[in-house]
Amino acid sequence: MNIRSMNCTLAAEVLPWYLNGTLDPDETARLEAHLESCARCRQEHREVAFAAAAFASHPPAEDLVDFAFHRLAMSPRRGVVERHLKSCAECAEEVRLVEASRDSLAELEATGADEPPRTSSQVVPIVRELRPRGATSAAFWRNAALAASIAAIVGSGLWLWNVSPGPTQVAQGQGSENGEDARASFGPSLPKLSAGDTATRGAALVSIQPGTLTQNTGADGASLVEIPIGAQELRITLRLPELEESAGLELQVLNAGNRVMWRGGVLTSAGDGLYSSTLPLEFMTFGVGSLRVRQRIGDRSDILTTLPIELIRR
Amino acid sequence: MQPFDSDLIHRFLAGDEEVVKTVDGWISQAAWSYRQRLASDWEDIFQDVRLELTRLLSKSQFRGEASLKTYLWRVVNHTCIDRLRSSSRWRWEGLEDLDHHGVLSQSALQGTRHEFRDLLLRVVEQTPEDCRRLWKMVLDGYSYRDMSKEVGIAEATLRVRVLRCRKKAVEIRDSLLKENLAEESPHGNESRGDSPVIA
Repeated sequence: MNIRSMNCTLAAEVLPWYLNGTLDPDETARLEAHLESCARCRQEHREVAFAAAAFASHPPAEDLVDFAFHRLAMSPRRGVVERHLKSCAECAEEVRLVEASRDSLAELEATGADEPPRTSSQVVPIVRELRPRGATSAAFWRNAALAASIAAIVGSGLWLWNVSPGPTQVAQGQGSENGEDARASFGPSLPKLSAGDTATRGAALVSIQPGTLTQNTGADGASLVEIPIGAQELRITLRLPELEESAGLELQVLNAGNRVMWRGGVLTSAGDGLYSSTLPLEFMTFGVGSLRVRQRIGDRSDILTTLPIELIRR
Repeated sequence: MQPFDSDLIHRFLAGDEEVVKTVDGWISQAAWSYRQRLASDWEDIFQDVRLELTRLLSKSQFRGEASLKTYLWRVVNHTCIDRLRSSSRWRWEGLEDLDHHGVLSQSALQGTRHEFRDLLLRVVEQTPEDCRRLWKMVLDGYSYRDMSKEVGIAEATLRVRVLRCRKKAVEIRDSLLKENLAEESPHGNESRGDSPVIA
């Protein structure tokens, strides 16, 4: 129904949609003409703006980060954040992302594997000195972004994905996460069930699509998975037949050094003890590695199984 | 501050290749959980984080209450959440815009922007769930016609409900202001330590 005449009652009713820009041009024109001549409705307009700001309000990002890093324990801000999280799915999701990042820090600190050498080495220019915003050509920024991207990929690849850990990596047996055995050692090694695993009997990798799966034919008996060139993401299906509770299942990808390269893959039940998740291929590590299933229920976090795989391109 | 962190910062700002590579690796690791959501913007975000970290370290914002690595992790998370929010469909009504509408001065709130933000959060906390749901649809850009179809109530009824929710929010605000909650806002001079506040 198009609003043909505008009075104060109607103006007050449609102001929210004037604010979000979805009124018809005709309605907008009538409302604006009315606002021109009506001080009371201009006040209404201000109140609608306040309501919009209130309903769109969220704690600042720094509060969510501090909350996830347990830095608000003694602060009244904690209550504000906690109450907001109960009713705001967006912020709750943001906190989950921060917590996943925080956990990766805990894992890194447990191993201490990527500290830089304590002596100075070659000096290279860093971006800070080169990037005054808005004062440089687009081509420069493209190149700078490309260089940074390559640096990030090479850097993280060398430190994190490489199957040949450096001499600063921890020795076997040093704890990392929830009592899990940190198996990072010198040279490639296959992940296997560790002391912290709740070895789920009958757990198996059923399929990875697109690709072909051959059980026990990879290195050291790992499942061998051939991925076609050009694949963008992988649909991974596992069998977990003995689960009492199917909530909070997360699929993680570990490299040969037992580092978590991807977390947060939600496993959803497909019935008959089968669970699936889709992962971007960029987070899979080619060569030997493993898939780990973790279950988080409340404050509990258990590793249910760790399945060795060897991933190759076809 | 740990001597090792101090040395690391010095070498990072000096462009030490090993340290810059290490910090780049940390940034990538810290942002893993966001990579899927921010895939298309990742290169820009990586640069933003690097620049932000450089800016904060140059200005001695890092006071060493936590390790440099922890500080970096928080800067990365902070930056990624800000980027997520700015790229979402959610329409953020900036406080400056509200000021433009005269709400800040009208509210007789003599506090800071933090206090005003707290006030907004408290107002929403106290509004009924269905009001939050309806207003979320408004803020997500639904027209009242589309909302009417989605919610399954007549257009006129819907407009009145949204109006009542708006009035309820304003009533709560006025009530909170009367209780002088704003004056008791927790922000005050509270120290946030090494909070990577983006100025």
